[in-house]
Order: sequence, then structure tokens, then C-alpha cells
Amino acid sequence: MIEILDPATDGPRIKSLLEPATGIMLVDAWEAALPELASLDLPHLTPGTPDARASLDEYLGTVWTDDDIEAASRYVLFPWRQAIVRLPDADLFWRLRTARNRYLIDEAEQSEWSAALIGIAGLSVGGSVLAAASLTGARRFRLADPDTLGPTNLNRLVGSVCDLGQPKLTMAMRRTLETDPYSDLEAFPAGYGPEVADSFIGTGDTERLTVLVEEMDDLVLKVDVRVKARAARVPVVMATDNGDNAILDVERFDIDASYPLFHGLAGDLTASATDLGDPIQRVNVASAIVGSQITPRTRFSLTQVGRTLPSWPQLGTAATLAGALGALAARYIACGAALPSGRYRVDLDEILLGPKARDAGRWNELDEAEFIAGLKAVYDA
Amino acid sequence: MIDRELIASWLEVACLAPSPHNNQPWTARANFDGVSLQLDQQLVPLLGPDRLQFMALGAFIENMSYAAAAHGYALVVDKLPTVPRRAAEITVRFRGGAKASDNAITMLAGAKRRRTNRGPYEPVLPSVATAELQAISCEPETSITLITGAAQRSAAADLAARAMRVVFSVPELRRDLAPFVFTGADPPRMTGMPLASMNPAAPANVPGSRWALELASADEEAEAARARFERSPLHFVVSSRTDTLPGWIAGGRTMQRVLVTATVLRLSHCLAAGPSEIPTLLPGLRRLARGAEGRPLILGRLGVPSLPGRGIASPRRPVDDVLRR
Repeated sequence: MIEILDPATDGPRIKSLLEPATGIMLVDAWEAALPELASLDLPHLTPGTPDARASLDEYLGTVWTDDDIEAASRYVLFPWRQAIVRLPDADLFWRLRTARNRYLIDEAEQSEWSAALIGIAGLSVGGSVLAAASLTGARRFRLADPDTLGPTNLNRLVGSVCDLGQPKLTMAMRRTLETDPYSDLEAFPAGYGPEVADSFIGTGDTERLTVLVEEMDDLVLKVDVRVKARAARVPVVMATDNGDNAILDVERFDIDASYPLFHGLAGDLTASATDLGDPIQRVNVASAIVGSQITPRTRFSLTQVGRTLPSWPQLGTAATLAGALGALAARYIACGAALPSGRYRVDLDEILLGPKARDAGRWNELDEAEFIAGLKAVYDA
Repeated sequence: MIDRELIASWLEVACLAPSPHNNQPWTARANFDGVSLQLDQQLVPLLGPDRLQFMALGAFIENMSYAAAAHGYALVVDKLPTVPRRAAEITVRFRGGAKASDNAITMLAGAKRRRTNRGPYEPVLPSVATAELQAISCEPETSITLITGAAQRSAAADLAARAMRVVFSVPELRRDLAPFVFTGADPPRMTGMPLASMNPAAPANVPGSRWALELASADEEAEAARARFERSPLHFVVSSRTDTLPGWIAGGRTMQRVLVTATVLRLSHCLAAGPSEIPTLLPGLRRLARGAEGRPLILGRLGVPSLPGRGIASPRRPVDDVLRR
């Protein structure tokens, strides 16, 4: 998808790419990187003082000569951008990219997080998880999604109308590589399915995922990937939109190989997986998994799916929150924090509005009893 | 190849240099014509900046230069890296053929006698002292500011007091100090300061670390520091043009010249690093170092000790511990 060129060995290729006739734009990242490298190497300087200016002059004159800069450069070609970026090499770029994480994520954690292999199946909310994981320093991903970007995705997925019709996977990879070209991405363009389970989750000679972030819509696949992740002892994280809130589910199959799928909320799904082909069964199982402790508006919206709504309603606020939540949970697991299996809720509306956020007063809001009765009426649950 | 025993004898003098909390953060490796020096990462605080640690290395080098000069060797420091990484290696070479001067022998004797005295000083200086100190030849790109006026000494005393209050109010700084304070209740050690030299009224029967972590009062230590600085007749600030590793090494050497010259003049000294290291106090120190173009690195006070016995010798790491094979 991108080319990373070393001036020591790829000089002719770099020269040819930079010929004016190619129309490729050169971005020299060093102009922005040098002052930041100086501030990392000499963080103690007092800005604006004569000694700080003298120190910086000494630094730039002795540490970063033109030859030093070229030797520490890589030329990264982004074909979709028609751009080549002269960038600090992987180690320097890593130092810059994680500089503002210092002390919030310590060195050992940052190293574990960057070495962790994170699988993300489903790149809608999963795209938000990917963005937050990459921003905090995760660098190795297996990504799976078969869908393309549609206009209705643009309420929650950071994208561009220029990319409508593009695979979500392509967009996610481009965005990740533009943030950190030294990321290691493995693509599953047909999405997750039983036929790629071994290579996606990692069994046998294939490296096993450190954490699986599961954000697919299809219930059959959600069950299938969990069954296989559990067999491979791979922990699963799932962040789900709930109005403006988010729900996080953590299944530590790495710690407990007998932990029930979805915390056992929908019974033994391995035994009844074949029944999930039935739409009514699917809704019943999905409802059991999600539960009724959701926002009054989410309750109302769910009763409308298949009638006045084509699918599960989602908001950009919740997708963003779910991305942060999923990425944080994955990082905790990758870095060895004691995050137990279970369901966790982050209710922004209650934080801001207090308990009245739970009230169902408007026409598009249902309380818990109305919701359960409504579902039963619609699906004969 | 310079005789290893000779280098060891120079290192013995070098090891008498002052360091933060007397942590003696140095290691040395003998080379064909000199020594390579590094910070001993076991002895430096968890977090930087390592300005004071590298200044201690500068003082170490300065002491070694006196010892080498007394044997007819000139000390040369190789070009230093600008960035103060903890693993930075500082190479020092010795060039033979120089004649041992009287000054070298005097300074060597001063370096051997020098010790910090944290007690009070007499308010009056011997008449020649200020002129002798003003005549010190600084390392390139460093300077000394002598402070004699009452108002400025009072401002310096305020900085020293505020610094002491910060040190004993911030848990991280107390933790940095704790391993380097000891009393008779502690096992013998090679680094650190006897608590009696810092606070003679402090209990002698509790471990020094406990005093530093729990018992020491920030207010009491601050006011004691203020009183001692107020009463001292002469303060000084060492500055360097750049705030980089070469500036710190050079600044440490200039600082040591002040301390050893003062010792030769039979003056005692006490250093206060806080005003330079604590960002909120630095502007005040810059004002005190008026006229010195550069970064103030350290504040100190000089004077004739009222209580000479407070200049208690601190322990030293033996050369064998410092010199790596």
C-alpha cells in the first residue's frame, strides 16, 4: 500500500519518484520534526531565554547536520496522496509519536502495546478503536471488513465523501499508515469468516492475536469468532453504542478457557448456533445479549428495526466513545493490567444530566417495561 | 600508557568532588591515555534533568586536573555530546611533559581539604577573599557572579528557603533525598550525608531515610536555610552560556574552582541547587546572576564558619568501586 525507501539503498528510486514529471509532491517532515526532537532531547530549556537559543543553536549545529538528517530519513510514498514524505526513521518517529504519552503510558507499557498484535473485525466502531489504538501507540493490526463506505456511515465514521464506495478496510489502512507509516497491517478484505479464522485469530504457525476487538454486525459471525478465540485463548473486547453512551464487554478467554460467550447472557450459544439463521431467533439472542439496560431512546429505536429503521441506530458520539473504550480495554489487556471479564458501562448522559437521563418522557423514549413488552409484541419473543 | 596506579591516585582526588546529596554518581574506565567517565545510573534519581549530576562529573574532572597537573600532566576533555543522555561517555586524556606549578599543588591541597559546611558563617569576610575569588579563571563559556549586597543576599536567602520548602513538600524529591541521608542508626555507607551535618537538632537515633521521608519539617528546614544564607557574607552563582551537557560539565568545573579556591582561602561553602532546578525559582536566580549571559547553574554561599565542626566529612566511594575493569 505504501513504499518505505531508504536513501542509503534506494537512491535511484527516490530520485525517479521526485522527478517533476511524476507530479508527486514532496513533504519534508523534518521541518516540523527538528524543533520537536530538540525539545525532546533538551526538555529542560527555558523557552525564550538567550541560553535556550544558544543551546538550540549548538544542538542543531552538532546533532543534526544535513548528512545526519539524510541518514536518519526514510522516504515514504503514499500513492493515493500522490505524495512522498521525507520522514524520520522508525525509531526517531516512534520517539516523536509517543513523546506526549510519557508517564501516562510508561516505557514498558508503551513497548508492550506497540508489540501487541491487535485483531479488529468490523471497521465501523472498529475503525474508531483502530484510530484510538494507533494514536496511543499500537502498531500491529489484523483488520477485517468486507463493507464499503456509504453515506449513512458518515454519521459515525470519520471519512470523506471523496471515499464513498471505497472499502472501509482501505480507508482504515490509509488513515493508520498516514498516522504511522511504520505500522504493520495485515488485511482481510473479505471480512472475518470461518474460512479465515485460523489466519485471522492465529493458530498453529500463525502468530496468535494478543487481543481481538470484535465489532461485527452479524450475530452468526460474532458467535463463530468467539468460539474460535476461546479455543485459541485469545481475549475478546467489544464496544457497543448505546445512544450517546457505550457498553464495553470483556471476555478474558486467555485467563478462563471456560468463560461463557457474551458472559452467558444468551445461554449456550455454541449448542444453538445453527438456530441463528432464523431472523426472529437472531433478534431474541441479540436482545438477550444487549439487555434492557440501555438508554430510553435506544430502546425505542430497537423496536423500530425492520419497520421504520433499516438497522441498529448509532451516533458519532457513541462510536467515538466506544473507540476510546475498546482501545483502552485492549491496551490494558496487552499491558497486563488486571481487567476482569464482564460488562462495563460508560453513560455520558447520566454523567451530564444525572438520573433524569433514565426517564422515558418523550415520544421516542421507552422505559424498561415498555421496551420488553414492545419487543415481545413485535417479535413474539 | 599512563600507569594505572597513577590514574587511580588521581581518581582518588576526583572522588572528593561534591555531588547532589553526595551521591557520587560517577564511574570511570582507564584508557590508553586517560579515562572514560559516565554517570553511574544506579546512583542518579529516577527522573532528570541531570544537570547537577553532570556538574558533579565536571567537578570530578576538575579535581582530577589538579592531581594530574601536580604530576606534570595536563588534562584535556574530548569534544562532548550536546544532548545530556545518561549513557553519555566523557573521555578525558592526559598529556605529559608539563611542569608541576605551585598553583597546581596549592589547588590539589585545597581539593583534598574541601568539604561542605552546612552550618552558619561569620558575617565578615577576610579582606582579600573577594578579590581572589573574582580573579578565578572560568572555564570557557561559563561565568561566576559574586553577590555581596545585603538586599541581594536576602533575595538569595529567600530562594534557598523556598527551594528547601519545595524539597520537603514534594514526595518525589523527598524520595530522591531519603537514600542519601544517614545517622548512627544506619549501617555504614559509601554515599550520602550525615544528618548531623544538615540538621544538628534532628534525632540521631532514627534512620536518616525516615527523617527525610516522615520527620523533617518543610517549614523548619526552609527557615533554617534562610537564616544561614542571610547571615553568609558572600554568595555566588555559576552560569553557563548553554544549558547543554558541555555547559554543565564546564559549569561544574568552574564551580569546583570556586569551592577549592575558597577552601584555599580558608572559607567554607554550602551549595543550594534548588533555585536553579525548580522552574518557579529560576527567574529569581536569573535576576541574581545579573550580567551573566547564560543559564544559572548553581547558587552557593561562602564564609568563615562559625562552627568549624559542622564541616563533617562525608563518606566516599573507594576508587576500586568507581574504576571499572
